[in-house]
Amino acid sequence: MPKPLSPAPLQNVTHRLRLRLYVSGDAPNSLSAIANVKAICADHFALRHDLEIVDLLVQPLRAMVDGIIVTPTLVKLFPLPVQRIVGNLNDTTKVLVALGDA
Amino acid sequence: MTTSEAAQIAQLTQQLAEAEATIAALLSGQIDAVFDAKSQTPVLLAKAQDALRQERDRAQRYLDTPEVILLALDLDRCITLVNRYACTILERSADELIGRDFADLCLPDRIRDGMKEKFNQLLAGHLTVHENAILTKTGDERLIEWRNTLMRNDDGEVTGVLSSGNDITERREVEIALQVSTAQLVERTKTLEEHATALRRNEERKTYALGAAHMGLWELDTATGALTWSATMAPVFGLQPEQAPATIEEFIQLIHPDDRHMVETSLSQAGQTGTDFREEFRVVWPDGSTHWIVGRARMLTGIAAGSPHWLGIGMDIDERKLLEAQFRQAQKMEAVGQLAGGVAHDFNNLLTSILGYTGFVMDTFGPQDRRRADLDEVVKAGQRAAGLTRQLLAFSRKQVLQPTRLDMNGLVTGMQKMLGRLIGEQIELVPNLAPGLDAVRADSGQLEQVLMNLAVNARDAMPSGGRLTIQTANVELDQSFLHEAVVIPGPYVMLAVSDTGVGMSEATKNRLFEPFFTTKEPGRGTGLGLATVYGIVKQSGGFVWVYTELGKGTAFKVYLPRATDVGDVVEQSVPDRAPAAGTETVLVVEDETAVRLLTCRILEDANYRVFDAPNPQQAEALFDKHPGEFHVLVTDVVMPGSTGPKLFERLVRRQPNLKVLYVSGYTNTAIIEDGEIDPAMELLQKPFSANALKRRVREVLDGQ
Repeated sequence: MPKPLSPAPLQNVTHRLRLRLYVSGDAPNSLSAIANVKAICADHFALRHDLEIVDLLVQPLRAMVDGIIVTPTLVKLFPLPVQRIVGNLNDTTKVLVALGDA
Repeated sequence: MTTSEAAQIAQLTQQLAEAEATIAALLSGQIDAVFDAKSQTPVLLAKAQDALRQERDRAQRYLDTPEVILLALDLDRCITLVNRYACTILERSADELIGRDFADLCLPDRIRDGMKEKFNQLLAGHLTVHENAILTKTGDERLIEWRNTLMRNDDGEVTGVLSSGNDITERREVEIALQVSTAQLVERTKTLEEHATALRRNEERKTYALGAAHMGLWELDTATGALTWSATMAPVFGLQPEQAPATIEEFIQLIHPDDRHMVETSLSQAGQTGTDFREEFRVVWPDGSTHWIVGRARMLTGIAAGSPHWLGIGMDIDERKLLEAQFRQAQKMEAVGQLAGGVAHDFNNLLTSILGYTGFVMDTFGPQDRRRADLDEVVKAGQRAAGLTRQLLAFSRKQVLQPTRLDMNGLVTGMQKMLGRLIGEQIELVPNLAPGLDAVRADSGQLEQVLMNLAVNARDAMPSGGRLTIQTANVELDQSFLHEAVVIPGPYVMLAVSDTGVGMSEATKNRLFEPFFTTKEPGRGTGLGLATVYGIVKQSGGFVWVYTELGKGTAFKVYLPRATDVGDVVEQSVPDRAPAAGTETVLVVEDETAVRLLTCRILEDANYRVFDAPNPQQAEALFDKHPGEFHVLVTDVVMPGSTGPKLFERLVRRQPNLKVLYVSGYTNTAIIEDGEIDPAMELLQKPFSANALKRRVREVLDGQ
């Protein structure tokens, strides 16, 4: 049973960056997104992030439950507000802006 | 605006931003999969892209389908899409083509304007299949058949034309070639049919012509020995077509045994020397009868495929042989006739003076004088000789006939008693006379002679008795009698004299009518009887045919033309009357001196006043010297320089009451047509007796 995506309960638990990346198996953009997000996290949020990777081909219901329309989609769950970034995440600057780090 | 409302707006604004970002990512190809919120099935974009790619490839492949030109033009006819095949055909790269006006770049000058108009019609929705020439880069032309569809945008507005084209240059060439050859084939077939028809017609004509000519064709293959006959050949050999011989040996067997060797030798010689074979020979029909054939043949060595062939014809020449024989016979008879006629003419003049002068000498002796009895024998012999010459003249057809309308039945009936005495009691005379018999035009005295001669001949053929039938009938002769003799078709009266006697051989039959030909023992016949019959019948325009069978009998059939004119009356022979005398003046014209002197003396003895001349010229001079003195002209018919009738014509003009008596041995066809003389003409035949001359002169003078 997947955890309900709700920012409210997490808000008070920690200030660590929480990211969830939805991918589709080893599709090219999915692989690129995984690699990119790991690199960005390593470079900018080395010790203060949690990254969850959800393969929607394995867990297709998560798409419906979490309201995911396309892969790859990166969701910044914390800090609020929740942000969604679609695409292969090649544009690091754009990703960092979205994560509120720039 | 409430807080919640502001929050809602913020959320919607974010959602919009996210949607825009998603679309941007989609457009930039950064999306792997799309998830439909209503279904649990993801759409993997990679797969979708594969599918799209495949679809695109398929489309590309379709675009690049060989043999089909694909071309998209915009509203300005500019090329927006071409496939590879179009490039190949146009001999240009896609880069050279895209964006250029198709009409300006790829159409021949001569059709460009027309095609631009056509393009406008396409845009207006007239989507027809059409074909036109296009121009390649190197200037060649290809013929393209186009199918068109209109391209429209989402609003349904026409944005251009998508055309697919097939290069039908070769196909059209083939079609045209096919049409040409089909037309040629039709033409040739027609020509062949015409030839076949002509051949068939020719074949029919040939068969008819060959059949009508009693002619057949044969062909012999010398290698196989196979013999082929045309359908018309079998009848020539008296065979049915299926009985035709298959080999040359069988063919030879059909030839008369006496002619086989000759034919074989001649044929083999012709084959060796390369000359034509031509022989007349006899063949034996299955019924045993013998028929004459002429064969002609040639060895053909030029036939391309095959061994030398004999090609030949065979023709039935029975008719020709028969005609040849008849012609030879007729020629012989003619020659003999001329000879006999000439002799008889001279002989007549001799007899006239012999008999005349003998008469004068006799008158000088008393009735009891032995020398008078001796001279009487001289006169009798002379009269028999005169009878012979008359018969000779009859045969030679140079005697003068005096034809009248004559009833043959009456003639037979009148002669019946005399004929009965002639043939004797051992022979039964059976008249078989057709009632209503038509009249003939003939000399009655001559016809009596014919009937008598035939009766005598029949009697002699029946030495131990038998039956003599005399038959008359009206008959129509037509061409079917051709095998018998040369006949002028028409109505005839037949007189047939048949006996039940010994008959005749073929050899006898062939010479039957020759003068002096006789089968009787010497002294019994003169050989002139049937010759006389022949001459009289011929001169009367008739025919005489003989049917005879050895041991069974003979029939002579005389055919005389039926008389068509009316008016003549049957002439009866003139009874002997007492010699007459007179005192009138007579002019005697005769080139034969002996006859002239005799004539003068007879007439002088009868108290006539007589002048004489040896030719017409002197006669005319004499006539003019004694104008109005002459009462009668006694003249020969044929004389040097002129004729008796012409002389009389001249004289009677000067003295219309002049009478004339002609004297003649024979008459010439040049003077009197057909040897006939007007029965009204006064004529005395040589040799004449003194009494006959005196009587005729008296009759003429008295106008009888």
